Amino acid sequence: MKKIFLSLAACAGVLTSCDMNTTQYGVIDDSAKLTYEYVTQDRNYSVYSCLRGCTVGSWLYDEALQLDQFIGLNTNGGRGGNIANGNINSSNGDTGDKYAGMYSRIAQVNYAIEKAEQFLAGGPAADQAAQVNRYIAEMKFARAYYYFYLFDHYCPTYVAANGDKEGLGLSLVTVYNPTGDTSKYPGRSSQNATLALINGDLDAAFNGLAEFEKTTKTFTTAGANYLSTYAVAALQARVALVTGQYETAIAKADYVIGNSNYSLATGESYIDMWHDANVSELIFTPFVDQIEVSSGMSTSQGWNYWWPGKLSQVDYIPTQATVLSFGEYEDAAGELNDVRLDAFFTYGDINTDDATAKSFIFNKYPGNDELIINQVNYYINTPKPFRLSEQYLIKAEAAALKGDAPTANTVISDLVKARLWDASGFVNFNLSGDALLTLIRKERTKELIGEGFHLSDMRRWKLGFDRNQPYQLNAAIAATRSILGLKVKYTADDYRYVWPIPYSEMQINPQLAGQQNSGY
Amino acid sequence: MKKLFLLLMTVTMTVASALAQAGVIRGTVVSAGDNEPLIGASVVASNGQGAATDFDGNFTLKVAPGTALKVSYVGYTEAVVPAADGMIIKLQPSDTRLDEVVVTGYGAAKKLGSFVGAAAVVGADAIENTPSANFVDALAGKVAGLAIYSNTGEPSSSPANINIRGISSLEFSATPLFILDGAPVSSAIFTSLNPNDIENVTVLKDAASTAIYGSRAGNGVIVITTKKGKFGETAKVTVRGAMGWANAVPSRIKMMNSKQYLKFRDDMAAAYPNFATPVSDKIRKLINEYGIDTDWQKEIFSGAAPSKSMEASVQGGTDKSNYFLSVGHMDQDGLIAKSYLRRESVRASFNSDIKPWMRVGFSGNFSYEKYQSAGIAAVNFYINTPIMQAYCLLPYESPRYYHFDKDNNLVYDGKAEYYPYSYGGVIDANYRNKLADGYGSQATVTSSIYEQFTPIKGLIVRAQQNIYAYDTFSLTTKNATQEYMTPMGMMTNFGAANTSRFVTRGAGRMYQFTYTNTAQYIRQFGLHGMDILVGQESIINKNTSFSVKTSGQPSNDLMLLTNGTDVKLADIADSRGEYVVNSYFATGDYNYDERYFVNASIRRDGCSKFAPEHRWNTFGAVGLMWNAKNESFLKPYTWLDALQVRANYGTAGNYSGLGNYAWRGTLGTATTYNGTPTLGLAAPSNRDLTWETIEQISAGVNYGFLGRLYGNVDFYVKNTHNMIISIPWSVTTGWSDGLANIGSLRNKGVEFTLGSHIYQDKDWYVGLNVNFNYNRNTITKLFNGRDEYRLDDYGMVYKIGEDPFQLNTVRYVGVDQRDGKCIWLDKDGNKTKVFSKDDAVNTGKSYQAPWTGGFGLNLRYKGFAVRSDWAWAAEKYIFNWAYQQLASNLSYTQANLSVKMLDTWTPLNTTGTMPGFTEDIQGDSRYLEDSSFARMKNLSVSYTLPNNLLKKMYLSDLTFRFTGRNLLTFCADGFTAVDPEYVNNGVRFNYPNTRQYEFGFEVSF
Repeated sequence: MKKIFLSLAACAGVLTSCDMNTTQYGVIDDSAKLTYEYVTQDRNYSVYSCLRGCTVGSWLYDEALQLDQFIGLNTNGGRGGNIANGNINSSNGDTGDKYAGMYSRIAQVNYAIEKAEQFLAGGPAADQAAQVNRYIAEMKFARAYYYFYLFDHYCPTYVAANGDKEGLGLSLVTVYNPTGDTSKYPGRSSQNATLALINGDLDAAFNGLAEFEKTTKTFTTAGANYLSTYAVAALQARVALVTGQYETAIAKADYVIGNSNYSLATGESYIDMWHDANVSELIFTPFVDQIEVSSGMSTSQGWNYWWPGKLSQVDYIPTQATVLSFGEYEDAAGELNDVRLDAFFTYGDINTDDATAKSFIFNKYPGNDELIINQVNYYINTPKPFRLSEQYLIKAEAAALKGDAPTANTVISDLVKARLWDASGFVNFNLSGDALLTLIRKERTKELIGEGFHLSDMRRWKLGFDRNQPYQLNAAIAATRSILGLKVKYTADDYRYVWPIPYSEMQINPQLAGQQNSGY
Repeated sequence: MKKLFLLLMTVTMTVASALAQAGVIRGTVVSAGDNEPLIGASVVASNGQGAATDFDGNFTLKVAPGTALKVSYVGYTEAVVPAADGMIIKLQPSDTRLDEVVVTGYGAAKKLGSFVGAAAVVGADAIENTPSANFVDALAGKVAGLAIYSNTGEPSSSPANINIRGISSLEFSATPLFILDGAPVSSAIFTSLNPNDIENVTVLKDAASTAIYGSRAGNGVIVITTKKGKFGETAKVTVRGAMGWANAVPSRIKMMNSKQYLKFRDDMAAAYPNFATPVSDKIRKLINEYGIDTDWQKEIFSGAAPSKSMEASVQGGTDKSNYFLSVGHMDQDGLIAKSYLRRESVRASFNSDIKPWMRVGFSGNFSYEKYQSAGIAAVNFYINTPIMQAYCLLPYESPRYYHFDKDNNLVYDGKAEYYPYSYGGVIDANYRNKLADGYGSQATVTSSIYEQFTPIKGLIVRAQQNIYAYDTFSLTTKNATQEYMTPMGMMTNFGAANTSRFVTRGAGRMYQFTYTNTAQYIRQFGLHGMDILVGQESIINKNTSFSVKTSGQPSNDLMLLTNGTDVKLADIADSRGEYVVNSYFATGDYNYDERYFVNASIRRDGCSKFAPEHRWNTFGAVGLMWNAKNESFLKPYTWLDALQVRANYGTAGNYSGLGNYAWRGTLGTATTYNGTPTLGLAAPSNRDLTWETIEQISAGVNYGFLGRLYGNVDFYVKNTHNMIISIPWSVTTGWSDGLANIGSLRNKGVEFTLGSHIYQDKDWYVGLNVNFNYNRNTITKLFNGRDEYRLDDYGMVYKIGEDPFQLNTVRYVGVDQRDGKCIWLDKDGNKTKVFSKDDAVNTGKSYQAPWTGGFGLNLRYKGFAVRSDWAWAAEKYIFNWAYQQLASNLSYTQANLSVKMLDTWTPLNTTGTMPGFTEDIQGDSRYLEDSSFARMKNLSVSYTLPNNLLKKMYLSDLTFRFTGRNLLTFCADGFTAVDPEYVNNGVRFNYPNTRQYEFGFEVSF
């Protein structure tokens, strides 16, 4: 009898040993082969979600706050202070997060390319193969976009003589390999090697999309939510200008400008563009709606009111020089004539000490009523990473630098004309030499303010600045300007124009030894 | 049944008497106090024959009646009695701490004195009647080497830091394994248990005592045993009740009052006319003429938070079964609005001998908790939280609205909901919390049954099935308010966040099954005692949760999810997970003549959290003990009560805190793009991941002499190998870090415990106990062969050979009185005025105190008893980031400042000790503060009515008591943060710890 119980108990023991192959719900193993649906979804993420995320919010305002166009207020609680007050070092979170953010996107797209190619190798049906070839082109564009952002922020201005110097380019990764093995981490390549990867990807993207556009032209129209050869060319022109390839810059800009689906917006329709009600200038605009919006897309912690209602908290305002630069053009009656003054600024109450005072507020991103989150408008607009006016500015600058003043004068005149309320009295510019270049730079600065170009421009143009400038628009606002912000000065070749490789990265990757950007 | 039982007894008696004639003696050894059988007691006859008592305390020996039998059981006074068949030997408990039972979780309890490992027991007397909602708080300062710190006074929270013998894992949880009545539980159980249901808590510290728990025991084990009835005990009903209140332990942060703030602004404006302005005339008037001067700490941590508890229990037993039943209710408010805990709990335990060879039992607890916790700003500075408003609201801001009458007198109106001056206008945090109503609740069940067989003498086969489960539920309803004109004539600025509505509901469930099967064999062969246990255990843990949020509810009366007008996919959460652990283990004890003891354990564990190729690991330990007191040559020294020397070595593992699927690389879905699904990499694969191994070698001595001093001293060295660290990866991999088994850590220390019955007579008892632990923690190996690694932004650098918890910063010297600039020391110790993070050095100051300890005093005079328990920590440091925030030139016009700022250097105050007003604020050694403390955790004063009086009242006990918690705190002068008990590298504003006062009674009959 007892023995039976004993045996029973022993049996119970064996039976209760449990299976350890547990199920993880809601995910797919990353080593699995992907189906067509999964390849499509992975492309949606690695290309479009990832591009959408890095063309909005702090990706736009952080570098603007670093420079000369904005000044912090002492009511901003120190938000943005690290980058705005000149304290840029390798531990800076704002610059470090963007470095990591781009490499994270690169990893996603590297994995996506590998899986898409694996899918093609499996011999899919022709229609699926055509789509996946298009995806690969899009992925290569995305990878080039991510790498170029890094190139344009973490590498010194490109000089052909230094092009082959190791350590001035980027760490290049084209294969997804998550590992803690530090010997596998790449050091910095040369700038030429970096550009070869970027340009190679862009060429592949262009060809791949050209192939696709033979049958489908849907995305070559203005306001497209998917990539086209025109978006690729727009990026090629941008890269070419920064790297001194002026012929290419002009050719690629011409390719874009030559697409009659795009046109410069004028008057009210230019203002409408910033309210997301006009797309004529938009070559590619990542899709976003009320379901897909997130608060990280907001610019309110940079420039806007801290979400509306009647709150009057603003962290950073445009400097006096910035505001006045938009007052240069007058119409025949002597009235202010620049559409952008109305498009980019509002005039409203902001917090000072124990009261409020009127000030200009940077409002290029006024918020789209469709993109509210829980009934709150966080000042979110659809991303606009490629606008036609940038192509005009690229062409003008490249032409001027190449010595083709007539073209430069025409192109810049075309752009300025489009930015005037009343262009009837406008006479085309006819400048040359430094005067022409200064005009083009000034126009570029105004047109692209707050769009993420100014850091690259200031570095390329070798301009310094001193933030301690007069502010006579309102004495109460002048007294509320941040003490620490006013102390900031940059020399013409200030090392802070090139962002540091993050401290953590320098520590963990032995191949980066001695490759930190100078000054850090 | 009764008839059957009687029949059975008769048969047994007959057999027994038959055997007696053949020279066989049968007897039973019981404890004199409660008549409970003593299992494994040693009975040795003068002719050398020996036996150990079985499960029911019975023994059999083939000796002639009248032979002298030496009966011993550790923790009890040895007895020598003449043999007689059917004898019942009652052993008297001896009076040292070695009496206490070590419940190791598997197999029969062992007495501390025969236990080879290092363990400490905290009895019910120290845990009962704690005013804290969780029993863990009552353990602080009680056990050498057990460090417990409470970071908050929130009623629904438990101590976040519980460590045994230092911290054995750098980034993983170093919290011990908690075993409740034989099955593992998580820290979520702490507030759900009624402290008065706990019989004792055993702390297992060294390898010999923890190895049997294998993979999870690397951080030590805390075994919680609940109360049970006793066989043959008459029924006893106990009723307890208590009422009390709590207030905040005073903060060390001192803020400016209105006059000071006014003067500060005037001073700055005078010194820096270009950019600093004084306050407006309007505000000057509010301060100087109307005298508005609000102490916001006082306003927000208002008065006394009430608490009450009521409970009843009944326990008893027959000779075949015992029972314990209890019901409890507890209700505790927090210091600020929307912070409370209410708990209902019932517990039952039942054990029955259904056959002479079979016992079954049940032990279960069900509790329901409902709680709310207020927003805490310990990690972030959010001006909307009450904790931050208590410091940062401007002192000339009034807690009540006001207006001016026709004679310009200030007339107060209702409670202010909006403060117009601070931060450019801010909503009152308590009003905001009132808008955001809701609560969390948790229903917890722990329930186990066991079946135990004794098929042959000395063999106990036991199967236990346990369920530990809880359901959590949360509700948040965000009502809306409207903007209005305040009586002061200013519009409110609540903003859209407070003028829109939403409802969030969430539910979660965790359930864990533990199946434990063991076979234990206890035998005494002459002088050779042995106890062998083999077992198998499986744990299945599953959890699931989901939540949903809808917004746009039309009014404050229509606040169901379904009243909403909008729902977003991103506001819906769903998660499911599980893990499985399978284990096989064995442990054996052998002793020769109660003098030489050997113990060995081995455990093989498999866990689903690791990749299949790294799932299994083996842990083990071996220990030795010499009970010197039992040597004949020490017998004559009657002043020596106990002397035991122990040493052991072994390994245990740790994976607590590891995700259920940490090894697996995955793709997951993310926000759609243009309405189409997206899929991206969600986690990198990590197939090499395996257990952390903690290897420990330790030695100790237990001692007792003169009948009044007892204690122990222990030394240990703990090496953590294959430490799981989240090591930084190059972000070029796509990930910023990944877990790896890299690095080694050493904890080396000494523990000392001394208890003393200083004086004892019929009426008086005076007892004192002291314990401390000194632990030194060093990194012995880092990843990638490097000898140093800086954790950027944490103010810490891991360096081989140094304390990993020491804080790293740039040394601040002072202010240059010529220009108000800060002076620092660079790396090489030279003065510099240029701040650079590269000049940061390891300060040798650690945020994990190397010295921890406690002491307690017990006084009794007749029915009066006073008990006071203290906990302390020394050489403990912390970065005070609140100081940095409150003494800064950022937002100084919008928020109040620390009184330290009154001594700011300006060109007009060149003797100022705070840096010039235009200087950047840097995180340097200025903010590194000594947070060592000594705290009276508990003071209880009670009076028990004398027995003769109780008898007249038909009562067995009537006690009245007062209990105070955290009544006294001592800390370093330089400490200026909220509370010194807080443990972390840095602190901002934490929810203050509470001082609790409680009056209660206990009646039994």
